[in-house]
Amino acid sequence: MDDPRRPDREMVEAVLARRPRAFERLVRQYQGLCWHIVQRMVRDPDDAHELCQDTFMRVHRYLHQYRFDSALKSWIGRVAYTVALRHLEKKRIPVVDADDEVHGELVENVGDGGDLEAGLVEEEVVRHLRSAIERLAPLPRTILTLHHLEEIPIPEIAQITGVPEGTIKSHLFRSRARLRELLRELLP
Amino acid sequence: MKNIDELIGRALREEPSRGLPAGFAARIAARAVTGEFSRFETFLMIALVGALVVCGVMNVGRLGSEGMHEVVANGWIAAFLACVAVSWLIGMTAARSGMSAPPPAPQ
Repeated sequence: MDDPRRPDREMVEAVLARRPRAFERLVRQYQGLCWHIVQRMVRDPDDAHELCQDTFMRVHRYLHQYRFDSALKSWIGRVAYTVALRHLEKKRIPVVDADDEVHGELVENVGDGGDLEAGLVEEEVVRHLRSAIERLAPLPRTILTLHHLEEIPIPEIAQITGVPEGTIKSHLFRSRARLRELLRELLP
Repeated sequence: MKNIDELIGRALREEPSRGLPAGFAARIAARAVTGEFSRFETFLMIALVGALVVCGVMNVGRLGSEGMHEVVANGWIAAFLACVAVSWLIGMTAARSGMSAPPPAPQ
């Protein structure tokens, strides 16, 4: 049976063996993920750019410590998340809103189903939704991006953020509920 | 109207985002290699300074106080200080001309 970590292993071994352009290939493969995590956390594009550089420098320095016990994508995502989190902590920016604190309660029904009100033009809904996402706190915004944009499963998001799976589900559930609520406020 | 999950996915996908610039990967890879060399240089410098200190201590022990007076009188201390000053000046000049600066951040 094929080892699912084989591509990760080959890529890491190539970088550690200092094969030409191996690290550049790694960066190219994961720069999108890094950008989505960091930019969703910190918002400022210049800060996000600098933190992505910092992330990959750390990946290069500590890659020998990667033990293949999680996907390389999760490991790099974790580095990016930690770098962004430290940046926010230095600036004393909270990653969750005070009323958004979840204490690990499990919300099994992650999807809240339900269609939005008929009659609204979809383009308009998407535009308002985008501005509503901006108004979420950094952590729920990042979780939402990883789940909906990168399509990363909840257990992997838990590995990246270090937040328990139940809390991730709660954040997703609450974010969706909040977005629906904000949309109702924004749309006439 | 679509489900909110699909709409969230679409809102995130279609967001106008600057993203990372073209050539980001190549620049980071080059910077990582430069970083490796500077770590090697730092290691080399520490090793050489360590060897110098050890040799200095051994010679002081060997020559004793009278021998040290002779070393000072012959101008060896002045020569050593001159070497340190010249090395420092070269470093300052290189830093000002950007020779030892890290590669510029990609725009």
